[in-house]
Amino acid sequence: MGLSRAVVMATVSACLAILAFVLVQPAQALERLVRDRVFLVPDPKAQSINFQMLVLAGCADEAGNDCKGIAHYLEHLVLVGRNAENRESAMRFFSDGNSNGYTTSRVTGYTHQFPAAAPDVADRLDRLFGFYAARLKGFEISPEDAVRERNVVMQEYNWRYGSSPYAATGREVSRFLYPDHPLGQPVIGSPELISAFSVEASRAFLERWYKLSNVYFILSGPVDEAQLRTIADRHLNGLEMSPPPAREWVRTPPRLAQEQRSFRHEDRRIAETTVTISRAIPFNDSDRLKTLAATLVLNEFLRSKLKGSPHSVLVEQDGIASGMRGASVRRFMDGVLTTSIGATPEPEISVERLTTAMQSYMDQLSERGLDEATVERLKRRFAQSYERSLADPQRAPGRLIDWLGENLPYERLKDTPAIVAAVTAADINALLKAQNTPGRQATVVFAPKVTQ
Amino acid sequence: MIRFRLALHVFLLVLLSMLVLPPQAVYAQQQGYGITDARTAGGIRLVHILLKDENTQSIAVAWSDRHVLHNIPKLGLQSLAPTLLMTGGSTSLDGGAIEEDLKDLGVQISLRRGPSYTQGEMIGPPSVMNDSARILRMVLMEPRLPPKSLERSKRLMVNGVVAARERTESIASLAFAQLLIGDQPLAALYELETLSRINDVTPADVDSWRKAVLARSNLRVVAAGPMSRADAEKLVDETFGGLPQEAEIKSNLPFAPRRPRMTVVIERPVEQSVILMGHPTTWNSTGEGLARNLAMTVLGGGSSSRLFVAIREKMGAAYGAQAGVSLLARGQYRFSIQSSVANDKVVAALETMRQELKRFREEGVTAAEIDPIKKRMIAGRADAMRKAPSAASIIRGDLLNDQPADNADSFVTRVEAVTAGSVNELIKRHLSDDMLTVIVTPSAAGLAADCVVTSLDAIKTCQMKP
Repeated sequence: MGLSRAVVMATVSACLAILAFVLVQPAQALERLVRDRVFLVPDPKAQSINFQMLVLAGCADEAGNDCKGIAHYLEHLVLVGRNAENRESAMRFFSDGNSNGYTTSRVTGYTHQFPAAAPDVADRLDRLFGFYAARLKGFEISPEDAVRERNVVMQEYNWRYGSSPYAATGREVSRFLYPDHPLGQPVIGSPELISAFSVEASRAFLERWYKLSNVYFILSGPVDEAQLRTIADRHLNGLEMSPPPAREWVRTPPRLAQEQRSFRHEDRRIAETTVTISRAIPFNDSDRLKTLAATLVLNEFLRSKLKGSPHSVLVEQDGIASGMRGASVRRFMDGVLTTSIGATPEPEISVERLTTAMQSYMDQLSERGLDEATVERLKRRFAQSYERSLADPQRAPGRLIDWLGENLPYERLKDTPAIVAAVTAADINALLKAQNTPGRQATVVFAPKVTQ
Repeated sequence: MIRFRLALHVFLLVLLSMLVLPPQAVYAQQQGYGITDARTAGGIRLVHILLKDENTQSIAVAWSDRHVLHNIPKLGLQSLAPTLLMTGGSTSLDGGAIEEDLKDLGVQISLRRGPSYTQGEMIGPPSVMNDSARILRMVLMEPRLPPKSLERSKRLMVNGVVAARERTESIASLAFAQLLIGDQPLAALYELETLSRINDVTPADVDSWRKAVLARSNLRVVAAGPMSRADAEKLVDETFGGLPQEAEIKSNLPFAPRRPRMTVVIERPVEQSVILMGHPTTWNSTGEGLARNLAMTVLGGGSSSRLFVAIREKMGAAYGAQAGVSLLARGQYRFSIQSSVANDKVVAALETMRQELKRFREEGVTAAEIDPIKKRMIAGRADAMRKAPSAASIIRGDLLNDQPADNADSFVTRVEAVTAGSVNELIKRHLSDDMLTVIVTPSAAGLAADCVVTSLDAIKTCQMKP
């Protein structure tokens, strides 16, 4: 039976239309919620598939509201343990891939990447979900591996912090700003604490926090959504869905009794003198997302060289500082706002004079505030940048992970541009005024140690 | 009629087969990236790659530049000159205003030094490329070069140099370089103690450098993104067309690396010891580059590498270990392996690293080791070629290595052609037992050192073994 010319032409037209659509359709960037706790960022043209399990627990969630480094040690143990689902170290989950992990005060992440052209993509995803579903129940580690990994963590500590001229003082400052609070403690622990790490403490942490209700799986790449759903269902259905315990540190902000303290450290390994004023102050807001949006816009100003910015005043106008070394305002947690401003003094300017000038600058800024035109300019920058990032599937997983890691409601992620667009100069100026609230203030000086 | 129907059937089959194939299969069927290489109307070499799906345009540039190597008393110019151009602004707009204008446009412009070239990028939305090109042109043609900005940059650089001489990993690296180079002119790059080479640089020096180096004849431009070749050519000519035609091209410095076969210990009160060992090599990054990458990844690149397994997983002595080959001078490279290890395990770790290296030289790599890395490299390269900034950077790297502009087209074929046998042949040819070992550690005890010093300044007292 032959095709009629009309049918043929219609089919050709349809095919051409589909082909044209396939060729010009920008890569899909928005994530899809494949099933509860599982996201996929479809990226049909990617040549790699990325997998991440994000656990909404980090060192701040350790026992007794005391961050000792157990969450980080557990991350190591999960990745090096020889478990039934994967007898090789999970650091080498796929011979042609990459694997890693990270731990912060608030979250723990496990990441894997492998080539999308692998003939056994479905099998690999099945193995990954099988492995991590089992980790939501427990993990295996031999005593020898546990001891050796403790030594590895010790060497990680020495590599990252032990040889850093800033680490010890930075730790003191954090403890001062956030007294008796786990967010003020180092994620990796200290040499003394690392020496005392135990597998039992790690198991207890896992039992408490590694629950399906407290993790997310985020994938990206050319992954078949239906297939992913089937695989995820196979391993995640039936897992206990009881909610994790309430996070103690969230409910108990640090006691921010008014106090000022100066810190100074001199070291030959420090290249230039820097002065930083950091403050932790009580702060209450009714709309967390609105505050986050306002800090986003304000920080763009503080980092800028716009008229009235720290750089334009302290470096260019007054010639007090030779360069800014950061300025920011952050909603640290419920009930706490953190501000920080740092600079390097000009050679003839004393540390004390720079400190006074920076303090004075922040006071004046909170008095004068930002004008509407500047705020609109900064918001336009954000809007342009965000719009471009939305079309980029390689940036979508990071945006999603950052959002979820802050324990923000997923359904509001899409509202980000609108929330930022709604920020007014009044919102930002209220934030600037809030920083005058009495709280804790650390003035930190790092300086080169000069030998005669 | 029958012929018409047959042609339609064939056409439909081809169309349908394209539509039903999985995306990665379609991608693999592409015949190259469509890279074109030609001079613009203004005579500037422009390599172009069209990335339709990208919403970012990247213009990557590189100027051949050996100027400062022939002006050792002003060596600091190589970093200071591009920095001052970018931060100083133009005669009509100061640096801060330019920076903010660029942020409004969503564009990043940068310029920095390379070993024998100056390179930079202009990255942003295609719709504002003309505006950002106007800014870049002002900076290049009418720079402000404010003395105060230069003084600040000089202070920062001097302070950085002084501090680097106190950091464990940079002490090891600087000592290693000095022992390989000796007193040849190139050593100036690593003899950071001569701070006058930074302090003596003036705005006039920067301007002389600009006029001598930033020309059209030695400029190579790569445009990657959604912009057509015609638009990119126009943009490039508008941006760089006002530069002088000819650069003052300087010759390569003569260089023959030394091969000191010795163990040097620098005793310092450090938290963690650094072991760095290696030797000069001619294992190049072009024809032999893919095999070199595979070999170094097997030896010390990532969590599957032999050094990682030996030093971290079996001994628990370190957080990581690396192997690599880096450029010393044109045609001369430096092979090295490195690890920061526990002070009480430095002797055992040194022995383990030596044994792994010996095994590597004698046994080479296996197909089971390199095949997965090849797959990873191919996927990683394909992903990088989708993004304008990384695609432009890859192609510029090929140009700087005197490779053809469309070298990226043959990447997969070349990777697939590398075998364990060909890697092992190169390992035997390029790696030797004549190792220079530098260790920074609290005590030289048990390390059988040929030379023990306590500071970087004393390295020159270490005599080479014949």
